Amino acid sequence: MIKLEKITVAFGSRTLLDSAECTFTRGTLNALVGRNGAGKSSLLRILAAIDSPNSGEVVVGGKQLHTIAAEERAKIISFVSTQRVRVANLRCCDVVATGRAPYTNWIGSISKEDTEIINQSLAAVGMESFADRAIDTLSDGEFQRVMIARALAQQTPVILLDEPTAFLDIPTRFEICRLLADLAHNQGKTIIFSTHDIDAALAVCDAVAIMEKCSISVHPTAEAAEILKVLFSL
Amino acid sequence: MRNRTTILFLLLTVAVVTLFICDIVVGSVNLPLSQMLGVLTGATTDPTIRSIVIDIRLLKAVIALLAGVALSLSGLQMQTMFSNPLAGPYVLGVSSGASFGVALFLLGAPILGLTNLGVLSAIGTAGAAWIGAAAVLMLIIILSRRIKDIMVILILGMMLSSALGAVVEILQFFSNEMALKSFVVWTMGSLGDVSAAQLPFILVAIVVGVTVAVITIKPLNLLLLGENYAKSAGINLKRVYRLVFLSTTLLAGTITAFCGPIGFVGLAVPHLARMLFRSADHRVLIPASAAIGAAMLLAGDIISKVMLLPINTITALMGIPVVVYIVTRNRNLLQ
Repeated sequence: MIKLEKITVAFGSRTLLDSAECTFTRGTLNALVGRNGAGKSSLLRILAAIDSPNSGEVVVGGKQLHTIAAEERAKIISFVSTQRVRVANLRCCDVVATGRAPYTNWIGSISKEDTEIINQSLAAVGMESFADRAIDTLSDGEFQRVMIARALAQQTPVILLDEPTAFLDIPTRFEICRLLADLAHNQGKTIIFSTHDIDAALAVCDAVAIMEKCSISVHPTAEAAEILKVLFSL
Repeated sequence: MRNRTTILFLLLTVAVVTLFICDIVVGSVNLPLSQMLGVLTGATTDPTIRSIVIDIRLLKAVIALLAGVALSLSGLQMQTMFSNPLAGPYVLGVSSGASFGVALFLLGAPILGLTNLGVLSAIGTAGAAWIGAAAVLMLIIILSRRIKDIMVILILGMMLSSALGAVVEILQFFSNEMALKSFVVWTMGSLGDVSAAQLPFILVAIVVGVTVAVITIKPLNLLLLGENYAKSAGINLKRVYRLVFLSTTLLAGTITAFCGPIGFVGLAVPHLARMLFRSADHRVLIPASAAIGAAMLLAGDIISKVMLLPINTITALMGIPVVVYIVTRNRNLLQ
């Protein structure tokens, strides 16, 4: 589903990826792991087409990512960042509603069908009772869940998440990981999330992408466990 | 919620209409209401009264209304685009850009010995203000691409304003009394210096500017979550910035060109709209800001006629308390 072809990413003299190649399979949940500064967030931003790589191609569903029009791309890839949004008077359901943007008209009218999808998305992350709450009154963990709901509402075959479990308590972490695994396995979505939570990653993921020494390699979870043992001296 | 919004819009419409009528009624010459109605229905044919009511008061009220709409909408767009509650055409230097353009035109041209501009001078002031405003906005947009920290952009905008202000002072220093006076009067702001012949020009600019603002409603709503989310929702940021840039130049640039820099409307009104309507949705905020802005400038014009003060000082005194109140009330705005 997603293929990296000779991706090079560098900021000044600092090279994060050097001609990296790897493939993420459709219908799998993939964890993206690596040390601080390995380039996990940068890679996710490139996969989401927010940034461009210095060279190389990202191929999504057989098409080169940069050739897909922005509106079309928004129907294929959704993204959850670590960024906290604090806007007064913005309700959770409004935030999730922005996930429907690729499907709404020029002014962003929300149809009945959209409302249903928004409610389902909020329910999927256990936030249905927060629909009318203002976004700036949420805790970091609650906010994280709303942003995941937003990505769900976007109904894309690919979901990218930057440290989605960072602010969550341990039960919620596993809950979110299991939710993502369900989405991957039952709906055939390709999900990639960066994390430092190796235990949760190994427990639920189908594959683990390890970023190290300017390259990236995707391994089945069992195999990855062995590599990570050495790498992180677990 | 929906009911509340409808009621608020109804009340605002009534307020704008009432203030519009009051603005026509109030003036230096005391005219009975019956005579004014007579002018509007055609019963009064006295040319002096007709001229006062239509050429002076009605025209000025229309300009006040347009100015309120234009400045508020450009302020709202800038605040969302920069994710900054203190953004506005005034704070980011658009008005000083316009002042700079006008200063070059009114002060710079005579210094260079270009005095016989004749008929072109009215359009020239507006044109110069436009070019100045557009140049500053263009610079701010280029800077905001390179610098991620929005506070830095704001500070740069303020520095740019001060720098332009300094150059304007140099121009003032070398100018003759006549040119200097016309420039200083322009900086005080006036809703009454527009001629009926200029009105269609302003009207077209404002209508186009408002239309572009309406087109940006959806992207502005998506930009509330920040650039990353807007991009991942399929928004072409470059296109949106260009549209907001165009809209703000047409709206704030035109009004500043013809009425001088009118401060704090663009900054305060969007906050009032958010507070009153308890919404962050631009589908509500755009009409709300337009209506509140129109009401504010009509009220400002009435006060300025009663107290014989320049409009700029009144909008500042009206707007500043609003900004102070909102910034101290809602600390989340600054996080």
